[in-house]
Amino acid sequence: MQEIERDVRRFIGENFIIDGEADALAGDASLTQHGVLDSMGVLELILFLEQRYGLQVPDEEALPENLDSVDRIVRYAQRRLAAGGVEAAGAAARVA
Amino acid sequence: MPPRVSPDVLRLADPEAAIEEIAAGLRSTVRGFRRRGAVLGLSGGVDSSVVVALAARAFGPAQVLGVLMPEADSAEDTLALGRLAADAFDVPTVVEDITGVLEAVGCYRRRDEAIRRVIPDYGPGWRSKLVLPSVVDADQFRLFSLVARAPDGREERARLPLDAYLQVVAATNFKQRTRKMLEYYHADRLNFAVLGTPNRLEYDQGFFVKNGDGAADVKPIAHLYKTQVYQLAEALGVPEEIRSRPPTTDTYSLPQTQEEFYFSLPYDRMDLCLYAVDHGVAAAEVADALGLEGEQVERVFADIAAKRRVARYLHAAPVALATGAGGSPPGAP
Repeated sequence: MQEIERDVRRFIGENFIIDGEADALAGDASLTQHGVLDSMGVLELILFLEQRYGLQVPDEEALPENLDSVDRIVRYAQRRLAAGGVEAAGAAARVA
Repeated sequence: MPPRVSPDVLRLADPEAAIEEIAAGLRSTVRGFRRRGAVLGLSGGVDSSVVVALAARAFGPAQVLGVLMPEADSAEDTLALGRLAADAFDVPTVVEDITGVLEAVGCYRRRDEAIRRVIPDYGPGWRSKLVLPSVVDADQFRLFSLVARAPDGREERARLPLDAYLQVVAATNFKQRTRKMLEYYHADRLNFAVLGTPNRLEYDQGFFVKNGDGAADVKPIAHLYKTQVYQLAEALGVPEEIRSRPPTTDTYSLPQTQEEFYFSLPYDRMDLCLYAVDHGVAAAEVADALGLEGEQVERVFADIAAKRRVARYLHAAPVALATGAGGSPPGAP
């Protein structure tokens, strides 16, 4: 959990936040309402999840309830990794 | 107390006065640039038709040139409607078919190559468009999907990953940039200025290509809601055939409405939402006026704010940095 959150915060900080620290962002803060993510940013986030953890994010899961805060992203990635078992974990290891 | 928002708030009280004011503004601005008339691209849509009429009023028809620039993906009626608009105001036109330029620069090839990353069968005879899901119907991210139709009529739909999406858009933007290049060619040879044709909704929300249709010397209707553009179209005598045609993008090879590609709602409803955002009208009140739920209007408001953030880059002029080493660039204020 902590490792995924650290990765997600680093990704957000490196890609979407010009001034300020991604660490200061509240875990439950909406990334779209705070102007951190736009629709292009969501595509970048999905690409990050796919490359970093080997997850495929299907259309029906590319939703605010899964991706619109640090906490939601972490929970979503964790849930998908747990459901994907060894295969997903192996993919994550390959791209790490 | 009457409601603060209804379609009536957008109606121009005196369209003829608005027309004269814009024509006078065009004349003084273009003369200030020491240019003698105006060039504009004619798409057959209501915006460019209104602008050609305003330009004819401002400069006289002989001092205006309409440039018709169809390409391989243009709708069949684009050329005829563009001509119709120019003819209605006695404005001369020139046809520049840009298909050859686009082929030479690889517009279609680069676009199709990106599409094949998600639809491997995509090839000659196929047609496509980008579409967005509605923000009104559900709380979801607006992620582009590609809809492709095979020559046998079979349709495929796929969400575009980042790299494919960016390449499709980048390749397609050649169209608007090529058109602008030709508008400036004619403007330079005639010593005319180039007129841009965005309405307020498009200008505010970034519905244009930077250095493409976003480039111009003067934008005479960028302060007008689309509803008001239609009002001027009627007052100016823009042909009914143009006024009754639903707004399209005319950029992709499958027919595409502006709502599919960009806006959350049809233009008249978007106008009202934009007005509400700018005048501090609550979502609940707009919802009553439009027959929507409050939370649906909240989502449209959020989409308006998100598009404004993206539009900041599109509107930004080149930034000449001033650093300690060289001071301010020459000519900087």
